[in-house]
Amino acid sequence: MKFTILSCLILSSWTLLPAQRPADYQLLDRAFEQKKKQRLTERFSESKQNKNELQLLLSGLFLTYKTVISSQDQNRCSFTPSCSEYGLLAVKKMGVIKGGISTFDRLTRCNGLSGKNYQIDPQTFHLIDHPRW
Amino acid sequence: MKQSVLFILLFVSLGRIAAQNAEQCVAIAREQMALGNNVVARQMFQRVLFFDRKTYGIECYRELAELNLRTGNFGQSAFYFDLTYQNAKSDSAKNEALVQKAGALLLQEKYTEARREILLIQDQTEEWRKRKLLYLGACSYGEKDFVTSEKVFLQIVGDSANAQRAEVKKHFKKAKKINRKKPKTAKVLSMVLPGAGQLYAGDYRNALNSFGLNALMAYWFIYTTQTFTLGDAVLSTGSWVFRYYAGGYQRAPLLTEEVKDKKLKDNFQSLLRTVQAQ
Repeated sequence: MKFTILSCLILSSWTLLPAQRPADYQLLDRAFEQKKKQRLTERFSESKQNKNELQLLLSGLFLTYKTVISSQDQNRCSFTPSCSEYGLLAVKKMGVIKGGISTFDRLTRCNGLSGKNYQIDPQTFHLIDHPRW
Repeated sequence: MKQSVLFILLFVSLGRIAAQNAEQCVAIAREQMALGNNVVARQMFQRVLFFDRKTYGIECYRELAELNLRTGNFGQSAFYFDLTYQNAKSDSAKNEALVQKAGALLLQEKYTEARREILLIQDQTEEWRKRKLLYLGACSYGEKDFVTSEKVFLQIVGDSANAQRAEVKKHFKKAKKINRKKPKTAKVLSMVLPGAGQLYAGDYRNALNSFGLNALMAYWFIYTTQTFTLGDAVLSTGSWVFRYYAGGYQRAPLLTEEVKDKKLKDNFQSLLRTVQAQ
């Protein structure tokens, strides 16, 4: 009796296991798989590393801007990282006051007239300008 | 003289102890591949190819192709599958290499090149005929030639399975409907009413976002006109209004293509499950 129950259980669990797809179907499934889009928090991992409430608020504002406003805009910023990313990085690196001043300084430089002062990123063809004090 | 001979003998014997032969290298490379150390495995296979291409060439080509396929270097993978094909002795080995190469090309979305490889398959057996048809159907689907693809998939399913034939036809009807959406229409719609193009594409979140943002900008423009003058409104808010309006209609066609691509790929995966269930 015990043996019969046991064998029934094993057989039923066997049928519940997902069937192995043949290699051709697996390969074609992979070829027609949708490329996963990176989430904003993954793309800008700095927005997750907050030391205090102010940084949390600024990160939240940055993500809201990126989701709601920047997503509807054209590719206008001439720098890499873009001005909003620069703002986030500067505040994280230098604190609110220095970072804030640095961000305003960057915004005044983002006008398409200062190209000769920077190196060009070969991938994005934008001007390279990382936050520094 | 004696000392020199002794030294030479000593070095030669040391060399014999330390060196690995090609067979051992292949074994180590396979072991490393199984462990996921892809860089080391690749180096080992390339070393074997450098020293003993004649004996281990085909094995190394195949393993390198698999390795590149696994790591996402599909171009390199196709290259090594091609070398495997050229060095294969039997028809079945040649066919297998061709199928794998076509797979690597499909992963790069090079549907026409993949079709060219698939057409080289010698389909003398029923199994190879079916595999060839499956890949040809996938290539046609990727090229958005749904009429040919439908015919091929109906051949795979066969005449007797009526329920599955109906299911396949349903999938292709859906694919044709998805493919009817035109990026240019989305652009024009977004020009007429911000957000309409995104709505047409089927991206409701972006449609609402674009409409809301443009409505806000329009409100700001009207408010400034009423409070001050039209000139002031144009000078202060005009560039912002135009920025998001233009952003909306320039993004709408890209979004349409993106959504279309996603829906077509989902549909194909569903179609594959239907065909496989046979």
